[in-house]
Amino acid sequence: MADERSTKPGSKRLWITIATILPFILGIPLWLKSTQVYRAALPFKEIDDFQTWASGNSLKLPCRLNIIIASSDELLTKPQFASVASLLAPHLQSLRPRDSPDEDESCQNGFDIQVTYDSKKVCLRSKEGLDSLYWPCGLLDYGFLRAAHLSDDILDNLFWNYAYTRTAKTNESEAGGLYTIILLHKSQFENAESFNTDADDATGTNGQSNQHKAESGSRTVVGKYRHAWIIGDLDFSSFETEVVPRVSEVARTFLGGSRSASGRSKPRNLPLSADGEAILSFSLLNAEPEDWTFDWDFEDLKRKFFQPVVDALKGVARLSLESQVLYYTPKAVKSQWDAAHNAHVVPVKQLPFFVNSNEWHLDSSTAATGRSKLLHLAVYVPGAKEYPLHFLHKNGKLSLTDGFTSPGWGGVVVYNPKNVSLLDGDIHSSAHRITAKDFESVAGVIVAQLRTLFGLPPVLQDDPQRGFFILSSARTGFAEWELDLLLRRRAVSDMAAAASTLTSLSSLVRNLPSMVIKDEIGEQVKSSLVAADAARDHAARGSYLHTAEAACEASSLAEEAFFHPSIMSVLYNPTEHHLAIYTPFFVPVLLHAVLAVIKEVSRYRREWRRFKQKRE
Amino acid sequence: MGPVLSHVMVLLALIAGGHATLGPAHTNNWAVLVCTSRYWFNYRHMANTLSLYRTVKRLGIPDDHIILMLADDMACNARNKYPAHVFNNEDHRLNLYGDNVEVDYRGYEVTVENFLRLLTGRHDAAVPRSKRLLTDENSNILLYMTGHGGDKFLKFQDAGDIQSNDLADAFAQMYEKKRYRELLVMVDTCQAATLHSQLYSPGVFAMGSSLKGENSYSHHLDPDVGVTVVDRFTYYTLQFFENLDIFSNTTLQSLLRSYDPKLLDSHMHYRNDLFSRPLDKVLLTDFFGSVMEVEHTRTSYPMYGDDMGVYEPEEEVEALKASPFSEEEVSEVPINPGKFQSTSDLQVTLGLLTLVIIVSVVSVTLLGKGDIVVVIFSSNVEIGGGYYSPKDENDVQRRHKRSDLNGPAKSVALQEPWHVLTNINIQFYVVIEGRWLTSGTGPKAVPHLVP
Repeated sequence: MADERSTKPGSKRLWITIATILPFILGIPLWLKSTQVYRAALPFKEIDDFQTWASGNSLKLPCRLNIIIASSDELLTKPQFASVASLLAPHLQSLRPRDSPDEDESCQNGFDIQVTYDSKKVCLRSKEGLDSLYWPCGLLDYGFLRAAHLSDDILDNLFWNYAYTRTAKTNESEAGGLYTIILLHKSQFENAESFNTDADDATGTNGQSNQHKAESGSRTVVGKYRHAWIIGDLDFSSFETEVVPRVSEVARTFLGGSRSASGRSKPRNLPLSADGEAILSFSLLNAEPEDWTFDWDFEDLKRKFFQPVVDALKGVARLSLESQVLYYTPKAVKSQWDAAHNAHVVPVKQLPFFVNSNEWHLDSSTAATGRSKLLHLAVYVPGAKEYPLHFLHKNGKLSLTDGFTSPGWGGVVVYNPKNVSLLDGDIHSSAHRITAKDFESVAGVIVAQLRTLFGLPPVLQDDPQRGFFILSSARTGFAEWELDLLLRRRAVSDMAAAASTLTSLSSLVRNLPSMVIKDEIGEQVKSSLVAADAARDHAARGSYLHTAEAACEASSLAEEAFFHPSIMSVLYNPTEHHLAIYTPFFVPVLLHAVLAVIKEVSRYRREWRRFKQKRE
Repeated sequence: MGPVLSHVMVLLALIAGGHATLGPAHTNNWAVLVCTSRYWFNYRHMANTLSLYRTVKRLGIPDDHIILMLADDMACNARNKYPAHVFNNEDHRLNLYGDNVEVDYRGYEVTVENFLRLLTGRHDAAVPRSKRLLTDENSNILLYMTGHGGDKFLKFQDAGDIQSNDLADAFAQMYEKKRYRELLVMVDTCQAATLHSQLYSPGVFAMGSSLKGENSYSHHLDPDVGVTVVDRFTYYTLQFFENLDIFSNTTLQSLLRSYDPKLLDSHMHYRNDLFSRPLDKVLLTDFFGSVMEVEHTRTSYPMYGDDMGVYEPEEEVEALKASPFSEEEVSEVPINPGKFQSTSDLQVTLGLLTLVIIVSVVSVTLLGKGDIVVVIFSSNVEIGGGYYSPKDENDVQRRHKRSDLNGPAKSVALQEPWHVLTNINIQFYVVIEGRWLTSGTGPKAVPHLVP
C-alpha cells in the first residue's frame, strides 16, 4: 500500500512548530511581571491601629485649674482649708461643658485642680500636682488692691501681669489650658464701691445692675486671659452654698464657652482648609455707584481692626486677608419702605436671598487655589433709593447689626454712610473714603461674624442680675481662654479627620489591587501617622499649640495623600477588557501555532504508523 | 379593633415622621451639568445642559456651585445662523446663552478623566477653585449628564466613554471621603437606565430617560437652526420646572410621575434603593435649588471696648432655612467594594514581538536551512483599547453631513460607528519548504454599533 514508508519520519517540522509555541509559555512569567503596577507599601497595620484608637478616643487636651483663695485676714485655718479643697475637687473634676451632648470640648480627665490659700502669712497648697506652673503666693503684697481707680479691665491686666512676671517659667505655648480662678474678699478693696461703678461705666450695662449686685453681694468676672475672679464675702460657713456654684460656673465657661448665648446645639467644624488656613476676602460693594461711591484704605483698617484678630488666632488658624472694591452690585432681594422706622427694610426672613451671586463677583481671588478655604466678608453700601437700609425682625424691631452670616461662606454687613446729605451735593466727586472711625461699628459686626463662623457666640453674655460678667477682648476679638477652646475643638476634629481619611485611603487601596501608589503617597501616609503620634504625645504633655499643630499636620498630610492626583479613578478593568486588550496580541498567533502543533503531531504519528507497518 | 389599629398606624406614622425631621439638613447645594458630545448636530445636548443650568441658577444655586461642562461651543459654531445664541425651542423666546453663563470645562477639557477627577477631587494643584467640586458632607449634589450612551456607558467627545462601573466607583470614593450628603443623578441618553445599574453607594438617587434597549429621542426640530434643539426627557423636565420657584413644595415623587412614556417614547427609570428618604418627602428644591443658610448676627463685638453691645435675649439664633422638611441620617449601608483589575502595558506587546523574533531566529540557526521566513507586520497598534478615530477632517464632515440628512426628528443614533477592540493587525507567517505553515491576522476591528 501507498501508506507505508521505509524511512523513519523526520521530526524537524515537529520541533519547529513546538519551538514556535514555547516562547508563549516561557513568556507568561514575563507578562505577569510586566503587567504588575508599582505599589508603595502602605503601613496598613498602623493605619488600622490609629483608626481603632480614634474610634474609641478623641484627642483630649488636659486642663488645669488653679483656685486661689486670697485673703488678708485669717479666713481659713489649715483643716478648714483642707476641707474646702476637698469640697471643690469633686465638684469640678467631673464637669462637662454646658448643654453639650458631645465631649469634643471637654478636657482630658476633667480638670487637674490645685487649690492655694494665699494670705499674708501662710501659703497653703492642696497638692503639688501642677509641676512648676503654680501660682506664686503673695498676691496681696502686690499692692494693687489699694489703687485708686479699679475697673475690671485694669484688674484683669493686673492679674495677668502678676502671673506672667512672677511665675518663673511661663512661656506662651505652655500656658494653654491653665486657668486661674481667684477668690477675693470684698472687704480687701478699700474703694470697692468706686470700682463697681467704674466697672459699670466701662461695661456699659444699665443702672439696674447696681442694685442687683448690691443684693447678691458678690461679683464674678471672667477675664480676657485665662483668669477669672470672684469678689464676695468669703466665709467658711457659706463656702459650699455661695462660692462653689460660682466657681463651677466659671470653670464650665472655661470649658465650653458661654453657651447660653448660642442657639446651636453643636458647633460646626471650623471654616478652615485641611492645612488650617483660610483667606478672609473683604469686599466693599457699591450697590449703585451712580448715587455715591465709597472707597476704603484697607491697609489702614486692617492694621487697626483685623490684624490683631488675625494675630490672636494664629495658633488656631492661619488667616490671610485680601480686599476688593466692587461696583454695581445690587442685592437680590427687594427692600420695602417702612415709615415707622423711617428706613428701607429687609425682613430677616428674606436674608437668605440677599446675596446676589450673579452680580457679586466675590470669588475672584488669585490667592485662593486648590482646596483652600475662602471666607467672604462683604460690606454692602446701599444706593440712594434704598438708603438707609436696615434689617427688620419679626417683632418689628430693627436689627442692631444689619449683618448676617452663612456658615462656611462668610458674612454680609450693611454700611449706611452717615451725613449722606453732605454727599448729595458732590455726587460727581471722586469716591468717598470710609474712615476708621466710621468703620468701627462695621468692624465690630465683622468680628462678631467671624466669631460666629468659628462657632463662638457673637458676643459674650453678661448676667448682671447675678453679678456674672465676661470681659470682651476688644482688641483681638477672641479671649485667650476662647482660643484654648478652639484649639481643643480643632485638635479633636483634626485628629478624627486624619483617622477617617487614612482609613478611607487604606480601604480604597486594598479594594483596588491595580492602583498605582507612588512612593510619595506612602511617605505622606507615614508622616501623617508620625504627626498623629506626635499630637498624642504633645496632648499628654498638655502643650496646646504643639498638639494642634501636629494634629493639623496629620490631617493635612492624610488629605494630601488621599487627593493625590496620581490616583486616578479609571481603574475598573473587568475580564472583558482584559480579553479585549490581550486577545489581539495572543490569539491570532497562538491559535495558529497551536493548530500547527496539533497538525504536526498527528501527521508525525500517522507517518510513524506507516513506518511501523512497513517494518512489520 | 379597626380604630385601634388605625390609631397605632397614626402613632407609628408620627414616630416615623418625627424621626425623619431629626437629622441635620444639607447646608449647600452643588450642581454638575455635563454635556458630553461634540459637533453641530449634537446641538440639542448643549441646549439641554444650558437649559438645566438656567433652571438651577434661577432656583438659587450660585454660579460658583455649578460646574458646567460643555464639550463644544454651539454659540460660536460657524454653522450657527444665530451667533452667540443657543435656543432650546423653535419659538426662540429664550436665549440660553444670554447673560452670565460660566462654562467651567469647555471643549476638549470635557474628558472622562477630568470628569472623574472632578468627582473624586483629585486635581492637579494648579487647577483653580472654579473647576473643583468643593463639597462636604452636608452638600447635596445634582449630577445631570446628557450625550450619547449605550449599554452601561456614556460616550465622551468622540474619543472615550465612561462605564457605569467607573461612575459607581467614583461615587464610592466620594462617599468614602464624605463629599456628598445626597446625590441625584439624572441622565438623558439612550439606554440611560443602564448607566446607573452598577451604583452601590448610599445616598444616591438615580434617574434615566430610557430603559435598556430603548432610545431617547429628541423633541423637535428647529427648521431655522437646522437641527433638533432639545431632547424629549429634558424638554418635559423643563416644562415641569417652569412654574416652580424656590419656595415650592413640589416633591421628587411628582416629578417622577409627570413623565409620560407616550410623550417620551421611552420609559423613564429611577433607582431609589440606595436613597433613604421617601420620595414624597424629597423636595425638588433640595437638589435643583438652593437657599443660603443664614444666621442673623445678633450683636456686634465691642471693638475697642467703648461700645458694649446690647443683646436681645428673646431673639434666638435664626437658622432661616426655607425647607419645611429636614432629612434623615443617611443610613449605614455597607459598601460593596468594587472590582478592579489590572491595566495593560505597552511593554507586553513589545516583549512578545521581540520574543517571537528571537525564537524564529533561534529556530532558523539551530535547524540549519534558511527556509523559514517570519513576517511580522503590525500597524496602528493602539494599546489599551481605543475607539474609532476618524481618518481625517473630511471623514468627520462626511459623517456629520450624512447624519444631518438623516433627519433629526427621531434620530438619536447619530454618531458614527465605533469600535471596541484595538485596531491592531499582526501577521505572522512561517514558511517552510515553500509552503505556508501558519499564518494569522489580528482581528479586524470589530464594529460594535450602538444607538
